[in-house]
Amino acid sequence: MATAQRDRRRGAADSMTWLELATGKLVRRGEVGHIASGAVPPSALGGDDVTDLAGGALAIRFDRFSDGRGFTVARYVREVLGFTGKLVAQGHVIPDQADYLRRCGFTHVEIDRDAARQWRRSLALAPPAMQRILGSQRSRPIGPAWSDAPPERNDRDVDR
Amino acid sequence: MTGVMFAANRLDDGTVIWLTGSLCWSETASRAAIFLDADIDLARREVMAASHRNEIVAAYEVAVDGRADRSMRERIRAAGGPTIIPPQDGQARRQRPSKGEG
Amino acid sequence: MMYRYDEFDRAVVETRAAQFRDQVRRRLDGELSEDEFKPLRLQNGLYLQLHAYMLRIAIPYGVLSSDQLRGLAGIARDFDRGFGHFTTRQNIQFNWIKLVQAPDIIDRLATFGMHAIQTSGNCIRNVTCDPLAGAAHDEIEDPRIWAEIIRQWSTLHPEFAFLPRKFKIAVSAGVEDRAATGFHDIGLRLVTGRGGEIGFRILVGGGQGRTPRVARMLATFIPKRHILSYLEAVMRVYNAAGRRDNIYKARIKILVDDMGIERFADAVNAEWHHVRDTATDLPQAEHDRIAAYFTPPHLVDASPVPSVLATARRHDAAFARWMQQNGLPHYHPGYANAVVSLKSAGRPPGDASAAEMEAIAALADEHGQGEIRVTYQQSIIIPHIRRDALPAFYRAASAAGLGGGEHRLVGDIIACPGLDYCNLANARSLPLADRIFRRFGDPERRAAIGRLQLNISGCINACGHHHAADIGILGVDKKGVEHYQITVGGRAGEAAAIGRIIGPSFAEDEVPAVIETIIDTYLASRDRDESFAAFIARTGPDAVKEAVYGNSATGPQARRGGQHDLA
Repeated sequence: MATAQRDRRRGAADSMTWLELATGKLVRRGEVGHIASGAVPPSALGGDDVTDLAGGALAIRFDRFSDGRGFTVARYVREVLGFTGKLVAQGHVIPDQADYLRRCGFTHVEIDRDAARQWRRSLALAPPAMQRILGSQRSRPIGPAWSDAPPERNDRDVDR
Repeated sequence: MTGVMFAANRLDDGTVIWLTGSLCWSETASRAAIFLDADIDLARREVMAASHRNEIVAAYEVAVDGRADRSMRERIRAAGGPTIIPPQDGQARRQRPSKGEG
Repeated sequence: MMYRYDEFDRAVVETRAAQFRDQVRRRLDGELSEDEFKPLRLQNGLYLQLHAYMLRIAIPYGVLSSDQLRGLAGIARDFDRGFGHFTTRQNIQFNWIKLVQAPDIIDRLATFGMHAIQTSGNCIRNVTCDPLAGAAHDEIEDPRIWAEIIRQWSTLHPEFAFLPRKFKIAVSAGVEDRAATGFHDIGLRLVTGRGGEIGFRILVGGGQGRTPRVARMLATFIPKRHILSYLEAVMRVYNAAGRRDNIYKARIKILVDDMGIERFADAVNAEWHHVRDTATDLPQAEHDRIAAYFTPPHLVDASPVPSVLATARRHDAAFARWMQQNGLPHYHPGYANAVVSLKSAGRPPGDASAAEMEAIAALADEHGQGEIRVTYQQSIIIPHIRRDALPAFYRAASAAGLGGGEHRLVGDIIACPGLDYCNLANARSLPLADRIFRRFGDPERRAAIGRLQLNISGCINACGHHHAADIGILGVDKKGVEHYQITVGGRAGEAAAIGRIIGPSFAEDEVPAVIETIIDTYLASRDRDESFAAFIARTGPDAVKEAVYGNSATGPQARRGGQHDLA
């Protein structure tokens, strides 16, 4: 059984931690104000679930890594509901999704600390982003703008 | 008498392989064993183990009623290639046994 | 002319290659299970088939440079068995790839600006386009600009990497729809709006497979500047609401069926409201940067020498036939676009050897502009050839064994790889394609029949596009024996239509005669120059049904002694 799966089955409280997606650092798990299921349509998320959190963390749960609904929920929470706090991915996610999580607005992912190395490696190997989700004056930025990471490399129209 | 045959692909190069009577994996289709009765479970366990050893992928079992009864799919797989001749690039090609009509 | 990678594009492809190499290592080491690895390898085009791994390499909207085609020939030789297959989505496939070598292949592809990103998996696939884009006589604007913009937007999009199912987009800008937009998840057509502005008409929910659908109108006019935000809204509705419980009901066409097009359009508009005019929409400067790559080639403006063509036609009947079908119109009256057909006796449709790929590249360099197009009909087009150079082109192509086959006549068969290669197939398609091709081996007879699209799929997944064919053939499994069901009346262009089954299936041996009966019925009953498609549209399938299954003494039912099964 692969490392990631073994890790999830272990799941003992003290082996689970949060990885900060912008930096790869491990931080202690914080309070989570609300857990949204990736499977619930984003529009079902009321503004109340989110605005009550005021600086706390919101988690989005992935039932299965190949079920990509959590990414849509994350962007909705950021871009439509205007959530500005910590956004944590929980549940079944794999290291190869690290950069997708980050670019959709997650700040942290809950992992077993033994998997940290692979998550960091995945972040380091991530290709530059093609999408113009960031870098325009006209939008509310998501992703690294919510943390201390260096700016995205997709700032071509600034260079030209 | 109905038995079960086991086939898979080798993980690293995709070669089609069959489980033999000695619970080894062979590239030769004619060495595929037809497992009966209690041996079927033994074979299944080896299939699981080979998957966990990261040697095989896409394992499956085929019910076989005597050696003659193989589906077209299994026959094509056993032959190791298509039943038509692909474009040749002017190099020496491995000869494939001709199969059926075409 | 065509898009060229800049430093940024190269960085994306090279880092992706490194990422894939690491993923393969982790799989071989056991750090990644097959369950976790499979979506990752699919999104790098590596697909496990009947005999081996297959690698599907992206040819963005079907456009290749001659150098890139030579690069692919090298891969065919160095990593495969000396040939490749051009697909119904304008990509190329190699059938004998080893997983351990895949990272090296991906690295080599990167050196000539190619990759296998998102050619498989539950993500947005290769955006396809009219193969005559930028060279067509009837287009409103070059759709490749938009295919490239959409390609960039959809590549490694973080929100849409784990969709309910695959997603296929096609872009067309011609009066004639040569991109089969009606059979895509999203079909985009460039149109002129009321004020003369150019924008997109958007179709949604087309597709083949086990529940074929012609796409429905989603939006009649979306301005160009909003196309990416609009697409993002569609993808978001699909990602959130598409079914994930049943892979046969997971495409967007099923969601549109379930919601109804009105409710679906409302849902898209609600999402669009949030994302319109955000960073997703393309800044004009970025549009202009990409559009600049697609400036028309420098064409010699001297009038072509008409006598060259006329003389060649008079003296070479084979050239005249080839020219009639394979010399396609160009926006410049002195130029043409030439089809190099990959359909010939003994050749699986769409297959080309490495030597043939190099010959095609040379033809493009010598007679064209160094550019090659892959068609979804599994052939090649070389654009921008001077009309009076067509005889020389034809001679050179023929010398390389590539002067046969006529575009869109009965021999221009689209066939999926079928049971010879594919794990999903019920029946073989390639031997039957060859038998039918040879059955109609007389070129004059092919010309007399006229335009007729015959497509063969080895199973219900319809990768051979049989639903969209004048005559479609579907392989089925009848008690372990390969059988074939026939449909008629499908169409892929503007008036897209799904073919109708004419009756019970046939054994392989019977099929060529059945096809002959159908075509003979058409020839005997057609009005003057009526095409097969028009004939079926006028009479419906009844006349051919009667001829094939009816009381005709020559029908196959009679030959079987009246026994017929209801497959």
